[in-house]
Formats: sequence, C-alpha cells, structure tokens
Amino acid sequence: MNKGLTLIELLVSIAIFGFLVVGLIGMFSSAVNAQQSVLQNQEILNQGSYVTEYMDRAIRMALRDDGTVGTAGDCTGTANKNYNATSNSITFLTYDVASASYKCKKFLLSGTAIMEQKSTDTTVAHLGTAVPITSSKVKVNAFNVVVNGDASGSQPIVTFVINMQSNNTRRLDPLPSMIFQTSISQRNLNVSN
Amino acid sequence: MNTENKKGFTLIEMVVSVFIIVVAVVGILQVTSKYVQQTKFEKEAYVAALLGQEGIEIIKNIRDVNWITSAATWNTGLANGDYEVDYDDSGLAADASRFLYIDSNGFYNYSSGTATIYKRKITLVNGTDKVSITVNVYWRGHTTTVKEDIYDWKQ
Repeated sequence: MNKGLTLIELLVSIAIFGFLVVGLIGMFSSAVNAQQSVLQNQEILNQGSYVTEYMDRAIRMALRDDGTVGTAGDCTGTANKNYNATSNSITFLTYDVASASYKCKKFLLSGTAIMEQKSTDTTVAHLGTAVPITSSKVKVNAFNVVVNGDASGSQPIVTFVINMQSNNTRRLDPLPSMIFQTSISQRNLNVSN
Repeated sequence: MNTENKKGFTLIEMVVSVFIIVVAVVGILQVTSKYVQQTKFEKEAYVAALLGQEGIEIIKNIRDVNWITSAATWNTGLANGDYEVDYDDSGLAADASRFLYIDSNGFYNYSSGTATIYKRKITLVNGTDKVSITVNVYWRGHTTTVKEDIYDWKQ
C-alpha cells in the first residue's frame, strides 16, 4: 500500500506541471510586453501633446516682420513676411512673455529631436543655442512645416506634422509611433500692409 | 493509523482550485488587453482632436483673409453646408465623406498618399454676424466633435 509513485505517474505529473508553467510564463510575458507598449505609447502621447501645445502658442502669437518691432525682415529674412519656413524649421517674431516684448524664435528638427532657439532681440543673427523641447525617450522621425497665405493682403496659416516614435531600448515590434498634424492661424491680423 | 486522512486532494478539490486560478489569470489578461486598447484609443483620439482643431483654424483663417481683402464681406465662402478642406486649400469643397490620406511628407490631405482611418466633415451654420462651426472627425466608429462660433467683431 505504501509503494509511492510509479515512474509513469511521475512522468505524467511532470508533463502536466510543465505545460502549466510554460503557459503561465507565456501569459506573463505577453502581459509585460503589453504593459511596456502602453508605457511607451503614453510617453509619445505626452511628449507629442506638450510639443504641439508649446509650438502652437508661439506660432499663434507671431507678428508680421514689417518693422513694427526691430527692422523689417530682420527675423524672417524677408520684409513683411510672417514666417520663414523651410521643410523642417520655422523662424518668426513672437511674443516673449518673460521679457514682455517681441523676440525672434526658431523651431527646428535637429537629429531626432525638435529644438527651439530664442534670440536675444528681434534679429535672426542673435539666435541662441538650440535647446531640445522633446525628450530623448522619443525620437522625431519627421517634422514638416508648410506656411500658406504668407503674402501681402493675406493672413498666413501654418501647418505642421510630426512623426514621433518610441526611442526605448526595450524593443517592441512594431515600435509605437504616432503621426499628428495641426494648423494654426495667426491671431494678429495683418491689417497694416 | 487512520488511512482516511492520507488520501490527499479529491478530484473535486482539484477542479475547483484550477478553476479559480484560471478565472484569476483570465481576468488579469482581460484587464491588460483593455488597457492596451484604451491607450490606442487615446492616441487616435488625440490625432482626431488636432485634425478637428485644424478644421476650425482653416475656417477662421478664411474669415481673417476676408477681413484683410477689403473687397470681400467677412463670411464670403462660408455659406451653410457640409464641407471638406485640405490644410493648403484657400476655399472649401463639398463634403464627399472621403478618408484623409497621408502624403510623402506626412501631411493629412485628400489628394495623395495612403489612406488613414480618419474622415473629417466641417459643418457651417450662419447666424447674425456669426458662423457656427462644427467639425466632426470620424474614425473606427468613434466621433470627435469640435465646435466654435466665429463672429464679425471687426465691423
């Protein structure tokens, strides 16, 4: 009566236990991956909404470079232009809250970060060091800017699109990413032409 | 020696305990998957909100251009109706319930690129010295609505 387990019983029980453990580990690992994906997606969302709101505010408060402050064209390079946009940068005069005056400002894509340069005055020549406004936890694959209607007798509208991807060293396949676009029309009317 | 106490678990006990463990594990997995879906939804909703904001800004820009172009009245081109508009259009087109595309530079538009999950409809209703804008962005069965009234305050 007290002979213990047979070899067959032992093998069967080990097999059942093995299946259970493998299954549980699989579930646990997929749950950890899902959690990682959620964290990285939230990072993109946070960084994306921050940088969008930050640039929105500056672009909205732009002033036509017509000599109202400083010399006409000293920030945008062309007199009476509101914005000087290349495919991945934008330079313009905007209201600087800290000094309560209009200063030249530039947003640009440098490497995989969006950076900001502030001028000490209204000229593009005095733009300071580029400071990143996106974290190294995300990489910006693309930052494209288009300005429409920046001409005499018109009111410009700026459209930018950002393609942002997670920069986490823990690899997920595919890496979480987001493409988002918005347009901003300037609040100061171009009435004095 | 009482052999009755040495028989270990009964089958019923085993089935019940396995059932409890399975319910717990499945529950945790369902919460995780819900969490993943919710994050995806948040990201899509954010993109939709920005597309909605863009719709408002484009209409506002049309009003501003009308003000500057002294020949036009302030609400020229902003008649009642449903419209679609690209970020680089200066006027509105009738709504055709089309999906927005992403072009090679990443811009959401109606003319080129690959189709996205988003549709955008801009509805305008004129009142006295006022245009009410409603922008609906539709995606995967969800709708994001952005509303704004613009006025002829510069009379």
